[in-house]
Amino acid sequence: MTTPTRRRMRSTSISLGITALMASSLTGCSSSADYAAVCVDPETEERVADDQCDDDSDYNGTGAGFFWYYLAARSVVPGVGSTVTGGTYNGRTLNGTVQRGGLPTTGGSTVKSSTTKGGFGGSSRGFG
Amino acid sequence: MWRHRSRSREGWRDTVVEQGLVFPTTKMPDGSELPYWNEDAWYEVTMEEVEALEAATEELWAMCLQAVTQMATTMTDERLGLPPGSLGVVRRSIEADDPALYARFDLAYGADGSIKMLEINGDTPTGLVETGIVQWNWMEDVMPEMDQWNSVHDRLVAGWRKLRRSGHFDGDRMHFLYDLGEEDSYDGGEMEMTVHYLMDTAVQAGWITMAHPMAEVGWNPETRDYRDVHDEPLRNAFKLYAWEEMLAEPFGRHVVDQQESRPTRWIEPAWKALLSTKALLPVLWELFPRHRLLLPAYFDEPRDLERWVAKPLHGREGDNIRIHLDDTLEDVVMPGGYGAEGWVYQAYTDLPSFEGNRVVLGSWIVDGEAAGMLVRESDNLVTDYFSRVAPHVISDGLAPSEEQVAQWLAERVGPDAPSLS
Repeated sequence: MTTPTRRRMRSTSISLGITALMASSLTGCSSSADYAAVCVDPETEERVADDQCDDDSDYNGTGAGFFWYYLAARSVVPGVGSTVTGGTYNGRTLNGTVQRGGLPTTGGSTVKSSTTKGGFGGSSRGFG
Repeated sequence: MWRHRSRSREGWRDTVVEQGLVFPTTKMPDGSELPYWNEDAWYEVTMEEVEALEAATEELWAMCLQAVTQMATTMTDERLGLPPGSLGVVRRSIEADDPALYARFDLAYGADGSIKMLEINGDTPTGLVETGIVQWNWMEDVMPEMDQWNSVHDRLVAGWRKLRRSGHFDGDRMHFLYDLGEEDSYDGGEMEMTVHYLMDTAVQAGWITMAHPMAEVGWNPETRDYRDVHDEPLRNAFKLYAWEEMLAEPFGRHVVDQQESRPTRWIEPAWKALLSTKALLPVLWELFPRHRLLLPAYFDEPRDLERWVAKPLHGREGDNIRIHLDDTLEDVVMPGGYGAEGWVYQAYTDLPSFEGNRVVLGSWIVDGEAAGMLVRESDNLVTDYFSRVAPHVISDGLAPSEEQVAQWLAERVGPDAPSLS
């Protein structure tokens, strides 16, 4: 059936760490969204300085004081004194890493650089 | 070549998903599912057939490289359906002798033994997980003593190692970028898995790697460089994202206008844009008239072809293909969003039919050499999004030893590897 001197055509062994890991994460359900919080006065919905907030409690719709207001990583950061929008007071429901405070007080993007995004990746066509 | 029916492995679906094929079935528009990985059948080929296919693949690859040079020197962006400035980018990439990693030919292997090139995907080929991992493991489980035309995995690792040592790259960090596809066009993880498998092979070759979606790539106008998701400079990047799309997008202009202070090194390189357009087909036919491995092909019109297939320059997965078999019959027309960029007309060739399964062979090139095949079967004339893949076996070959693998990795099939001249 065969001659022992023939060329052989296939790989010897294949080891696949990343592939198996990705397969399990894509077939499970996981979210890796990241969030950053600014300190807000819920009565006025305006951003205040970070040091007005403490880390213990989320705003539950009542109570005076200042509370963390969580924004998704891609949202635009409101400057101190501006009205906040598009985020949530409820930090416990968020999946992923959360950074409280430390965002630029003048507002701008959450990414602390002049890098812009969105100039690639607009294609929704499959490749292959 | 023969098709054999067989019983699929117990729990095959979970098995192939665990191995990385997270899309074992294809969702139909009505919500039902079609098998995509099909192990109810396997294909038998002889060593003689494999060697013919291997030699044809390498010959076609050398011809394609000649065509790239021809296109870059004699054609226009418009004729190729590429965004303005693309050919400038391509020419610089050729001059720099940018190295490439991989490509996939689609071949029609006729019942008469003829081999014809249907097309090549030279920029963003997928089907690697199916080829390199899943059919290999199927064989380990079902016929471990047999051989398969499939050195894709070993060659990818060797190819990445060669790239790392080539001096063409900027350090040893390689980013892996992919397109998730949104909502309706989400591909079930195919591109993501393809990229992560490639990442696996790169890690085994000593690269430090990281993957994220293409849409997370940034541009920093102050330092004039592309940035990754963490705002670190993007030094080297593999992208499963077509050059013709990149060059048409806002950030693509930075490459076209040469604004980068320290240019990102891309795999596949920009010259591969010429191997992912169907414009290549008429160029090849003009360069190599009546070549036994080619089908006649022309720009814009079928000329004297009686049976033809019209292909949009950048169509994929069978989108927008029109098949004309007879003046009295209605043409077969596939839906899709391509065509504005231009058309080529290629002679129609009958695909071999095995019990009604029409077969196209995906034949891989890795680091300039033939590396193995993936059998795709379809119920229709067009091998489209709803096709299936099945494993294959070389019936007169036995599983190789490690020494043998090392030996043929070191040996070339043909003479010296072709290069862009």
